[in-house]
Amino acid sequence: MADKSEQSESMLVRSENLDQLLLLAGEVIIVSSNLGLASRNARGLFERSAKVDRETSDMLKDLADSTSDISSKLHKLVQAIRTVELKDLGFRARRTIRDLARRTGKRVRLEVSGEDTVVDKSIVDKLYDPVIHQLRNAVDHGIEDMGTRGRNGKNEEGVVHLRMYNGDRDTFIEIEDDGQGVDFEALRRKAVAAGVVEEGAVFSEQDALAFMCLPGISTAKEVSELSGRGVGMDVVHSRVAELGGTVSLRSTPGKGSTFTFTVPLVSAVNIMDALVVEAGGTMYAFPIAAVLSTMSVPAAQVRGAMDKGRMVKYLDGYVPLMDLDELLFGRQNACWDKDVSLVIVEHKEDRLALRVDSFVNPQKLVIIPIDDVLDIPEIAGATLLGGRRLGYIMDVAAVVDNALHKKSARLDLAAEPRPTAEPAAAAPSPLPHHEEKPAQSTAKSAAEAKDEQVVESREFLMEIERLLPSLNQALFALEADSSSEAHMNSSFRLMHTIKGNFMMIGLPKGGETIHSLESVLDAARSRRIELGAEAMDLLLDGASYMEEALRAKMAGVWEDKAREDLIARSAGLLPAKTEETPAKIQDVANGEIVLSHEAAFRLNIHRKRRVPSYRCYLEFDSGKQPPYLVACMIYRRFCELGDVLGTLPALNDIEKGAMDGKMKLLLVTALDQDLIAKALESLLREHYGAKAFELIRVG
Amino acid sequence: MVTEGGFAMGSGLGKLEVLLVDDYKSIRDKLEKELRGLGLVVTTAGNGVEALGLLRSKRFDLLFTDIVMPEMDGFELCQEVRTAPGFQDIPIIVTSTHCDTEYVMKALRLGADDYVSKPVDYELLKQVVARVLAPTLPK
Repeated sequence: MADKSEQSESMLVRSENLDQLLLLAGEVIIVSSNLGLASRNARGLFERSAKVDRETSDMLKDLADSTSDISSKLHKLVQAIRTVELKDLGFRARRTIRDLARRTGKRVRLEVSGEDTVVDKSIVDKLYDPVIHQLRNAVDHGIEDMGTRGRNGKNEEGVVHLRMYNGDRDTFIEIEDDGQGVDFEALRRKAVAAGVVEEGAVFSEQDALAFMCLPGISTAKEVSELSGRGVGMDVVHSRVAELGGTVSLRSTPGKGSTFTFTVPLVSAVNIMDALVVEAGGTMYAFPIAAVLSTMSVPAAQVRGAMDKGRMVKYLDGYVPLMDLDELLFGRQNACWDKDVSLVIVEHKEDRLALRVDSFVNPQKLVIIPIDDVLDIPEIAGATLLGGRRLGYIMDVAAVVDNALHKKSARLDLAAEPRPTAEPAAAAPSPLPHHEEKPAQSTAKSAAEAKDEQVVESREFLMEIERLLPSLNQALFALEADSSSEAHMNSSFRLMHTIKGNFMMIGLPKGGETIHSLESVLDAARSRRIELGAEAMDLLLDGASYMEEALRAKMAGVWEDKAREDLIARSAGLLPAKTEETPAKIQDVANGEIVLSHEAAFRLNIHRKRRVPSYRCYLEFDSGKQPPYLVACMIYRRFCELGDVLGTLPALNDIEKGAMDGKMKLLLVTALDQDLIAKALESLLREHYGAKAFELIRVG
Repeated sequence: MVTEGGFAMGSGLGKLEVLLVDDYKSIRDKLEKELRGLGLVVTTAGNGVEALGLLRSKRFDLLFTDIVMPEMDGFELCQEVRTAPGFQDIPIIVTSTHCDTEYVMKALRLGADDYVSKPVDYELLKQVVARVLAPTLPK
């Protein structure tokens, strides 16, 4: 679905960054116009067969310098735009620890530092799960219960540190607990029993970690409800590895453990150093990290024939050799009786030599994803080489797996890449487009309206993304000082606005759920209830729910559903409504208006003064609005004409919803009967959906 | 400017000026677009205080306001408008999500004339703006 993928690609961008981008764009325009000038100068010189003069030469040098300066600035800026702060992770961590402490009965304090640490946008969402899981491990398996800590002379309150910081190229996330530490001896025995290590062999911290990261290994004696949900260290480890990161462990028995996640600061997926080769007339780029060596060998060194599988000597062994063009497209055009140019690639333990036609220089490439265009597993993306030619970026893992393990069928030649495809057009647009449309163009096409809706919905989604950290912050501030009016008001307003945005993106059930939380805050700020621990738990759970909904909605997998548990907990916290039975729909046509004591007084004074009174009966269709609301509006209209002494149903009941579009009103007015009858009837019929109208003088 | 889907305000009324009050820009922008689509001239404010300032500085034909806002919310704004000398008679439409009936009832008691729920339905908005501008008795 178009709208799904567009949503998952949007992100919040700080406006300073956009300003800078605009400045750079301005510089590009200047450089490009100067370049035009220089090129005309050079052309003129060439046509007169004159030598390049000093002016033109200086100009070209300046232009080359500025171009390189601008491109490096642009690269840095785009990287900066792609990074986001880890604030959300801090909030989530706090909620997680809070929740865990509550459920385990342990006392745990979380210290968070470095919430302004940045990571690439593409990484941040995938970082949450492993970090949160490791925090659970720290509380569940690390921190001891209060009794044990007391007996061991430790403070009853355990401390978990979440430290985040940026290195030059990496982001570091440390999770440290002051708990019992890793039981190396128990792990070693397990490892021996599992046959992974030999009895008596050295078993280091990193060996222990590696063993813990094997599927299905856990030191917890009982599977706990919290962290032992079948998600173990193996999953944590593989999630971090998927991000191109690593996990390391330091642990002292009895003192505690520190797990450190190291993940690349910039997503390695988009810009990479690559070796470029040509084969069969097409350019291919191999990520430098996966290339062991390039070499050119005499044909004689190639062993084996086509059908048997060729091998070539590399270092002290032989490596399988294949022709790249043949491997990808099944074409057997390669010439094997001259010197052979080879690229040796490696994936895990496997090595593979690939025959290519020629090498091009290593270069930095920007990857353009092309998953949808070309369905060839060995090709990870496309790139523009030398700014003009389309080249393919190889997925070395797939190349090696498929070549050596014969998983892939030969590709159909029809799938041959067509460099005519406009790759720039396939690149995702980073920002929603704003198109101001003149008000006259009311006749929008359905497609235009849909596009507009998608853009709008994305804006509201991003608004939620922007507001959630503020809500978290306000809620934690409120928890620290639960009587602060300022914190209550800001939490309430944020909750209310997020609710509104949920409604705007078509999640009314989600909105209703948030509304229940908002009511709790509204009751607190008007001092109808006190905000206790239970209320704070509820509100923070609510924040988690919103976050979950936001992420899922962004990924296009959210279904609008009310969270009944949150709604019920909210209702439980609100003061019991003075058990009024909900107002019943009444038989208005046959019923009589009941006057209050005050109204009865007034009626008699009106009579004494000979001001006429009228009974009005009307039926209306409230259309898209609830009938009771429209009834209130109609009541307001009658009040403008005189004294409304009573209604049926009574106004109180109408406000509670007792309204099915039939009502009676008792109006006292000195205005001309004909005038008000006509005016009211046409007003009510035209604007309030009135179907039946009757005005009778009753006194 | 009279638009096809908007009001035919040809009866010498000229352009109708509406003051739109909402604290969130994205929602305000969307409402502004919808109101302009009705052929109204829109001025915006981010809260009640700003709105009162604008109301004092020029004549508006309609006040369209959110309820929950910082500084001065929609309740206070309704109250201020109905007690301030000079513009007590301006029609007020309040807007909020459909969950907020309690707020809406309170706003009506404090002087609001009509209500539209958010997200705004264009047809309903047109209907509500038309009826709130219609006088109870012909002039």
